[in-house]
Amino acid sequence: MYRMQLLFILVCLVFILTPQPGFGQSIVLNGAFGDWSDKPALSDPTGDEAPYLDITEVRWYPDNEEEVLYFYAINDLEAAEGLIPTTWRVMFRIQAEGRVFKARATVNRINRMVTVSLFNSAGRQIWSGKGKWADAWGKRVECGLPLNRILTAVSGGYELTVAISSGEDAVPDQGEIVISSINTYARVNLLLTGVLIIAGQLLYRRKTCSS
Amino acid sequence: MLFIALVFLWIAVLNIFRKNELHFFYFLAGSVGLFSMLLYIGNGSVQSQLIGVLSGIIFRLSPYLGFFDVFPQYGMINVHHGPECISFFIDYECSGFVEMLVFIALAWFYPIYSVMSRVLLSAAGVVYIIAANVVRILLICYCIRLYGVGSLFIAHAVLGRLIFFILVLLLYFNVFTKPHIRYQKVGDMQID
Repeated sequence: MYRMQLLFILVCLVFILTPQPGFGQSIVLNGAFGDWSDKPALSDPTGDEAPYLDITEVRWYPDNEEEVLYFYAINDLEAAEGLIPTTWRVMFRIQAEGRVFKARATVNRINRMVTVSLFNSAGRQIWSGKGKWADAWGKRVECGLPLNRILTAVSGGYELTVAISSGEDAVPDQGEIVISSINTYARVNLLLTGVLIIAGQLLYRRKTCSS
Repeated sequence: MLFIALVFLWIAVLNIFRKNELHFFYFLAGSVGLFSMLLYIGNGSVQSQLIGVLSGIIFRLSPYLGFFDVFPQYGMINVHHGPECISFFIDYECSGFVEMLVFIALAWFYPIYSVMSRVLLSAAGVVYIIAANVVRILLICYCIRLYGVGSLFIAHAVLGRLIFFILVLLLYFNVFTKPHIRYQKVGDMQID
């Protein structure tokens, strides 16, 4: 009985002491990058590409409610010397449900305009969007891709592999970024529950009958 | 309105089974009915709270373990393996919400426990299932950390499930099966 009481206190403590997560902030594509501070990130070593193309960090956030997969990339512009091109491109290779999609974000450094195009496995453009989603000189850029154009259903769970690059510089250098919303629910537990209920009841009834 | 009507109907059916000493049907209707009710009431708020608790616990553990990052406000976990990275969500089914409700519903109508024991058992079961889920998620993270993103399926669908299955099996054995064995030896139905 004492152990049970201890456990009861424990459950209360778990709920009281566990830090309740704050409100998550969704991404607003506006060229302001404060909303990216608490999103998953992957850093890439510097110096493996011309600085104005050298991606040093990418971030991503799949907003399953809005059904948009957001990306953020930053390059090593400070290290650039001499003239730099007025545009740079961030390329995405996305694999989902056995299909390969490609997306391209073209950043205009002069007017901060980012144009995003999504292509299916046949190379046909299936979606495009644009906005002022870069900062001055296109050092940082954010964009979003519609998940409903990539996946047949977002709510049922999905797995995406993403590789990001700008020219020669791939992020990650080897392998991919995997984004998964597939759950680990053990359906077998429900089956087990059913078996235990029936077995327990049969045992109980057998015992009751025999006594 | 329909929900309230169904609750009254459920209570009436339970009363009929109880008065006629149809213990099996009382247990069956009781546990299934309670499970359905809790699922209806808790779906959404309680479930998201559970995801918050689970990701909060894992978030607290992450600095000590150091092989994954947690974003509790999104219920998201990030695991790095060399240059690669994987992000996955603690979602509805991962929260253990359904498993908890099944356990609570069974515990409340299992015939050998007193009311106080049922309250405490339910609380203990919830803690245990949360802990089992934490273990499952940590195991998945560890496998990905060790063997890379390619091990996601094995870690997610096989190992995670297996460990959770074993842990839940232990819970069910200790709560439902073991007391029966004790009862068969001792002959006392009331367990405190």
